[in-house]
Amino acid sequence: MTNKQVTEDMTQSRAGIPTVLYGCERSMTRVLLVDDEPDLLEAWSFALEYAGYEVERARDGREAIEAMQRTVPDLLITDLMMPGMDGEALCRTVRGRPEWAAIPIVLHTSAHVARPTGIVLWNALLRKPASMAQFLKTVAELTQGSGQGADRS
Amino acid sequence: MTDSTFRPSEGSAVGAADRAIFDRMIEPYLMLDHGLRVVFANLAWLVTFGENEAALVQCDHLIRALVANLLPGQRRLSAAFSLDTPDRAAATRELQFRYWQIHVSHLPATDDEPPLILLRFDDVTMRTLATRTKRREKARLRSHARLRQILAREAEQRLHDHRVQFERALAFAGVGAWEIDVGTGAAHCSEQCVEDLGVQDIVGLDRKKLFVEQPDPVAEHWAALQAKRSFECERSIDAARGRRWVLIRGTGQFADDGTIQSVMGLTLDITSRKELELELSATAGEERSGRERSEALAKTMDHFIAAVSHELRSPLNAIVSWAELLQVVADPSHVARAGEAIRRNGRQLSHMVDDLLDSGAVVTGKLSVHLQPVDIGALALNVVKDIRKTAEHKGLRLQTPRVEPCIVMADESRLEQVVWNLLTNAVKFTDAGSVSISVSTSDGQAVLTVQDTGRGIAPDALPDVFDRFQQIAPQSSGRVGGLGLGLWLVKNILSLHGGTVNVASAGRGQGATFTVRLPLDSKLR
Repeated sequence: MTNKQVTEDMTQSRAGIPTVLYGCERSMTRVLLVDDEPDLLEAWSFALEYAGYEVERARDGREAIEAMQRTVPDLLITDLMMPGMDGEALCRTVRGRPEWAAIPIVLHTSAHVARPTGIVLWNALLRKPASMAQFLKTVAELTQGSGQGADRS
Repeated sequence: MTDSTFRPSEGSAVGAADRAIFDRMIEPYLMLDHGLRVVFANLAWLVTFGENEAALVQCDHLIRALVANLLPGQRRLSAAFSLDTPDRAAATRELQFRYWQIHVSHLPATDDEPPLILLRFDDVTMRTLATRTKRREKARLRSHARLRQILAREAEQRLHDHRVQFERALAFAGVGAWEIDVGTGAAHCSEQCVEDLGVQDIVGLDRKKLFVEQPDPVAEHWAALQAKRSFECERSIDAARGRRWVLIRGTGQFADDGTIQSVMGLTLDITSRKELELELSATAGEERSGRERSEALAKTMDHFIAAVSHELRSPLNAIVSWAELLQVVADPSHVARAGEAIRRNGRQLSHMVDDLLDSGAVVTGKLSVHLQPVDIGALALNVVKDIRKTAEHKGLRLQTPRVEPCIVMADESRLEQVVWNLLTNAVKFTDAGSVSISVSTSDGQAVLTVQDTGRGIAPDALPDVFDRFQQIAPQSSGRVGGLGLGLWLVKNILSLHGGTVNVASAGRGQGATFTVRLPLDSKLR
């Protein structure tokens, strides 16, 4: 699916969806989605693409780091419990690298987690499975103004 | 001898020459005729006893007794005696008496001389006094010895009394006393101790007889005793009153050079206390093991519940997520995609719930099968279709190199559960490569094999693979988790079908092969 197609799809199915979900439509905001569950990765990336984001997928923390080294995303959405490098380790790595430290992070997990003290590891916490509206709203808020397009003005 | 002429004249029976010789003698001599009249007294006699008859009168009686029936030629010896000569004693200032002994000889008559009785007075003062001193000394020693004896007897009696008293006090307190001589092994003990230790034979009591029940506590605690520490032990003893518990304490008695000489100690019947203690500790032990069991059970349950929630949540999350997506997409192709994902995850969830329910049925023995002819080959291919997506998500090849139609008598849904569990298990534990399933007939049996190139199983873990909650390294992967029920159910379901399942693996990282054998439907054979 090309970005053009996504945009077209959105245009077709726009009715009834709060306008806030479409905050990114004038720019291509990059989202890196990390989840070890293939079905969820597929479902949520589909949703993000449908809402007009450019989505990069990774199945664990290590793959996410590799993806970020290729392209720095505007937002990182990660699961917590994953094999290999888990979500918290990924957050710490990202926060530890100056060129990545400012990337907003959404932690999407079914686990109940406490926010670690002394460091802002994630900017938002979503209980999995989040409702689509809540998910897209959170993503839109965190990527507000991060696009490189003309919407800034 | 009352003759007034004490020194008779020359005309007597003793010649002048004889007189001269006798006068020169140092010892006092006295000569009597056969009528016991003094015929001669030599110079020494006169000097010693005085020139009167006083001395003679004093020993008159003695002399008469001495010479009575004395035959000519015979000699006799008197006992030692003293003569009271106070004037002499005063004159010479001698304070002590002198002692004398008389030698009497009966000189027979010669042709010209009548028989004579010759008395020689020997001064035996020194000898007598010495003898007397010696005798007195001896008497003194004898009396000392006797005193010592008396004292010793008294002391012994007192000691015995004390001991009896002491033992009585100990017995009153229910305490027995014993002592062992380390050198000889001889032992003695109180009556209470005999009773406590169940001593059979108190005659010639020794260490071996005292400690009937082995091991000998003294030998057992020898090192402690040597180190001058007392020991304490509890023994179960077969006494006259039955089985008793006895506390034995002992301590060593040491010689000056530090060697142990004897061991003495106490015994105390502690049966009632000990029985209570044993009862309490048994109860405590039961409680403890019960508590440990329930703690272990609770731990397993906690782990199981955590695993169940995680496992169930994954497909549930997928279903909810896709359903959420359905709210925003209208495109039919997207709807179909979401629908397929929901269906797939729903089936996975359904299988898990089946596993859970069936595990309960297995435990209570209520798992039942409804047997009918089933083509296990076709069934396997259906399951493969459901799982293919999951395998492909992991980048695995799901292969069906040889799947033949095979009719077996089986419960279709249960058999599907078996194949599903084996395949999902293989996919779950394989990170790269392929999973192959094949179905064929062999020796009147349907043989289904599931082979993977996955993590494999260590040889020591192989026997436990089909046990409940025996998943290998359940925490090794965030998602793998699993309920730890799948293979256990496979084994149980197959045994209800008269079938078997085996596993083979060359070891860790070498993949694994599960082989299921089921009897073919007999009507079709």
